[in-house]
Amino acid sequence: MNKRLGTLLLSAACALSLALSGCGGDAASTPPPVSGTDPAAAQTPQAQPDQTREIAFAASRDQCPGEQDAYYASMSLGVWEPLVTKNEDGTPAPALAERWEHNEDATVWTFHLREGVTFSNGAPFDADIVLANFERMKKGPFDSSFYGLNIDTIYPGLLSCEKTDDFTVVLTLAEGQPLLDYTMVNYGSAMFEPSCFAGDGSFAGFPIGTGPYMVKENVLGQYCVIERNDAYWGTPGIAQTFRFKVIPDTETRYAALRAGEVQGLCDLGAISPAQAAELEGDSAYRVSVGDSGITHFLNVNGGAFPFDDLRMREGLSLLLDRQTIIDRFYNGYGLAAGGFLSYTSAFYAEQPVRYDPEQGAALIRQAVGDQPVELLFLLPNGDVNRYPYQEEAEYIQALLENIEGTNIKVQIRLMDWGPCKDEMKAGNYNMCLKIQGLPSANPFSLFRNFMHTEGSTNLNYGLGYHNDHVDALIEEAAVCLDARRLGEIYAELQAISAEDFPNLPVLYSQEVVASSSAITGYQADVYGLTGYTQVCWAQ
Amino acid sequence: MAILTYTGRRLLMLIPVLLGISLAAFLLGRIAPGDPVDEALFRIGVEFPTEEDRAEMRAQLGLDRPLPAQYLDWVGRALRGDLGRSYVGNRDIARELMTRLPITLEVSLAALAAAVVFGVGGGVLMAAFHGTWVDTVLKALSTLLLSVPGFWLALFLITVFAEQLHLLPTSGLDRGLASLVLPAVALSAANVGSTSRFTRGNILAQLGEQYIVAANAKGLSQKAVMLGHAFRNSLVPIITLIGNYFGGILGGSTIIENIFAIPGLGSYVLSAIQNRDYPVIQGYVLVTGATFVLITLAIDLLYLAVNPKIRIQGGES
Amino acid sequence: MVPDIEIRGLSVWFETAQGPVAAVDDLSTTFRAGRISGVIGESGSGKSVMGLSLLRLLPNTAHVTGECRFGKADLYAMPLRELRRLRGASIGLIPQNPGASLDPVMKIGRQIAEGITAHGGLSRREAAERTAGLLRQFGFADPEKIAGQYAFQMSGGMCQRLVSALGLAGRPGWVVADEPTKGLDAVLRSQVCTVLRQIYTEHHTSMILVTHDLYLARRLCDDIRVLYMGQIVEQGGAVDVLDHPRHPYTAGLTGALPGRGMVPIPPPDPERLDHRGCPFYPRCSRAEAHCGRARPGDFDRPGGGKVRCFRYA
Repeated sequence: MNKRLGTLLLSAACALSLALSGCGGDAASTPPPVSGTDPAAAQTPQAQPDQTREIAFAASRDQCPGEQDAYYASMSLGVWEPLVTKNEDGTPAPALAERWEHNEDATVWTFHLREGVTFSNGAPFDADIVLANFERMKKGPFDSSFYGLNIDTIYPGLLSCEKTDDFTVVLTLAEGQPLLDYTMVNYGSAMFEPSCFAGDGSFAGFPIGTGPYMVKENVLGQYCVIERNDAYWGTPGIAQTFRFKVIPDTETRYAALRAGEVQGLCDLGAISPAQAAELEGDSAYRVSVGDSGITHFLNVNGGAFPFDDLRMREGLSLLLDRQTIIDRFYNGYGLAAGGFLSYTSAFYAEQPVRYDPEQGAALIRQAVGDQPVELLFLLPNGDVNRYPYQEEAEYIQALLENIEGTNIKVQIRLMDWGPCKDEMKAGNYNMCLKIQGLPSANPFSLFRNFMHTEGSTNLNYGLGYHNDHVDALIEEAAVCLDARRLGEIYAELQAISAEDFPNLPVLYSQEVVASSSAITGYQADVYGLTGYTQVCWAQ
Repeated sequence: MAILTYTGRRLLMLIPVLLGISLAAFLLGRIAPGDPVDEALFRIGVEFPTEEDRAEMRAQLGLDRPLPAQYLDWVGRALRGDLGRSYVGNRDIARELMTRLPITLEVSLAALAAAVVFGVGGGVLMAAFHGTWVDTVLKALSTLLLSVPGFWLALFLITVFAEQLHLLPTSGLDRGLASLVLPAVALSAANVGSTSRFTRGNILAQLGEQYIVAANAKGLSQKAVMLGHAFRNSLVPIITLIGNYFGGILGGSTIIENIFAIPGLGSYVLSAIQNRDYPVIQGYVLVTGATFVLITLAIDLLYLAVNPKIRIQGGES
Repeated sequence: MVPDIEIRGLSVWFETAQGPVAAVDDLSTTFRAGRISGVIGESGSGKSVMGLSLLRLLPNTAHVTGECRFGKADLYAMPLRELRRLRGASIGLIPQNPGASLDPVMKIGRQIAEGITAHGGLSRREAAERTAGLLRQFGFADPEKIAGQYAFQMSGGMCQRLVSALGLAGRPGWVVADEPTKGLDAVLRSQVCTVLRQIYTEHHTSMILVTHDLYLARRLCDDIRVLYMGQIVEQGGAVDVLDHPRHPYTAGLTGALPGRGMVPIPPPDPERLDHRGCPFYPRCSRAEAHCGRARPGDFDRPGGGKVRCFRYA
């Protein structure tokens, strides 16, 4: 753990110095640059851009949903910080908790808190604060537009939360949770100064956190403004003020960027693939592609003909030219998916992406023969609006209808998600495109819900998947206390999914964001506690 | 005095109207497939709900009770001004609606003003220059406005005036009057087209009347004849038309609000509908219904001012 | 000095769905100032059209050719702006159909005041005073009340008096009274006759009286013109023409009166319809063969005036 921490700190320092040299920050606290490319070094001190000017971003939803939201603000704003964050590879990394350990059966977890941290109002961060936050969490669950705050989901079977000294907190659980630190990542362990809570656990006024920025102004549904916290314990932000405007419509958001009203577009769905393609060649803008935990699944009804036949499922998966789908419909933004779990997960075990249209057609022919087959392909309206599902479905329709020696007809139907789910659950469908995110860094719930015979998603989506060995593995994982063994189980489940197809993964989504060249340091992938600290004016 | 009783009677009519539309909204929401349970569970972190979870949430939202009980309970609270809290976000609905209503009204009234000024003004111009190139050009323009869909026009205006020319903001309300221009134009364009045609037709019809001949015979200028006589006599049907439009503007602003990032009633109810957030939908119907009825009443009162026959003979009856 | 109104070669045709329709056919006459001149004929004879054409108040579907001298000006040729200055101030109109000739949504007082101030110069108070005076003149005992009311509150007779007041609001030297007694009962007709005579005697307004009411014409007019199918077929002293009609049409008109036997003019003879002669030929009981071959010109009429009939050639 310490060695990893050291590597992390060193790489953070390097990244920081690179960014600072590009922005012209405070010379006294900048370690010497490691890399050779350093265009800012040629700049004279007088040419430093004025970082007190406000930088504006636009997003499709409120970045500060306010007092009734479990977190008040998105974590990316850097207003609050968690005990545990995550690395680039998805494994838990220290934040407000410096290090932690657990006992053999993973029922008792001990967290050692970082010292010398204060909240933006001057109050010190210590074990009492952590206890108070857990007390608050118990008043939940709390509604949020980012992730729901539900203590029973994040800390299942929590018996007690106690301090042994001012900077040590012990959590005791009823059953062993070997991956507790995974579920605590980011939104699972948000820490606030308790005086900003109202009696019922919501916020009374602005949130008070330990992060590099503080909320200065918030008009719900319109915009919010954050200001640099000059007493921050870690790497300070460079820019002084950020404004986040709410612009729900994709075209309008794009126009705002091009009009210069905002300097960047952030959050989910910031920019459409087509718009990003337009900006790629333009030197006045920068497009950044990053990880998204979202996977696009082609769910199939394995409880009825023809998808109850493995040959049909496998055949269709082989028939799909995933890379062409990505290039043609997603403008190249996305990664072909071979297995069930998103590549952004720490437990990702890469499965080969197999494309073999002849073999696929052959398998399908074996499965259905030349009898007339009518397939119902459902598309949920909300997802159709955000993703090119219509075109994708038509492509798949064309593939299936043109297999020689078969007589397949595909009917595509758009529905609201509510009724769509009802139809899927009743088994009145054959295929449905739907996204699936990563609810937690611990993928257990995903496996159980999709792949276990009694899994809620398996039932609710009418997947009709049944595999005894998978059931056994999942039941073992439910009580397993060994993190390493869990990793093995998850890897095996992914391998099975690539051969047995509970559903068909199509692609792993990628987040695309854009900014104008007037600012620098803004990118899609943000790990650890960096937030917007590296975003600043370029000139 | 007669006007006061008339107004009083009309305001009393508000009650059955509001009851009717809220009941309709209630029933439509419950009949429509889909329910708010899954979305509510998702937002508190239960992404894969079990049947017990859903049953529990349903009970928590009060959806397991019989329909009449649910409706009457809501009415009872609504009468006290409590419209409940939204399923999504747990926000006080009455407060949210009251915050958003003025914003939507601002945009709607700006659109209405544009429809009146440009629609009626355009119609007057077309009638005054009837048969000349001015009439032809304006007629073509109004046909164009009639045929262009509002959301397309909105995006077009944003691209031209905001993105390229930097004359007006793309969205939001932070620039005061300048922020209202593009949304008002997009919202009112089709109405301007049809109102101007309608006004033109009405005025021209009036110009064929006998009293216009008499007015001209007095030696009045064309302006005095057109505005003082023909126009004033065309007002009643024009006012009716614009009154009808207001309902459309109030409702149609949903899409425009979304495009221009205006946090009004329209954008609020749009997400509520997608999430099946019933109390929000019902609250919205109540507020917009009441607004619409009040505006209609105002228009009817305007008739009285404009047409003396209704005023005097109505008062006598 | 109030000039004469001299019409030369007036022709008016209308665009209709059935094609062009002629209303006035090459008409020439002079209306002398200081007199009441009558224009009589049946409905459709073109008399109202002629009257309205003087002030160019015909609709856009009407096409007017010819000349109309008013002093040095040609009323048909002058720019509309100039004509508006004459309307109401030099030549006024007492329009047909009084009920429809008043603006339904404008107060009566304002409509009259409009006529008074149309050519500028007066303050509002002065205009109000003149309005009251005018209303009193036309028999309204309580002018203030009337001024605040609307046309739909007035009876038929009151409307008639009001439009007469409107016609005179601008104090014109000439007034065209278009069918002032159309549709009125005997009592009202008599009232109108009195009012018109009053206008003439008190204000010395020259008048053109367009009417189908022969009794009215006989009582009021100094000279009359008889119109048939857009042409003047007989003109002369009013009493003389009506008591001793020369043209067969005039004779037919007077013969059709209740007091003179009520003999109707016969309908057109179908065999005579296709002709190139006198317009009255198809209905004339005294026509001869040559009447259908050539159009008669104006011949001298025994007793003064002109008559367009070959029998007086």
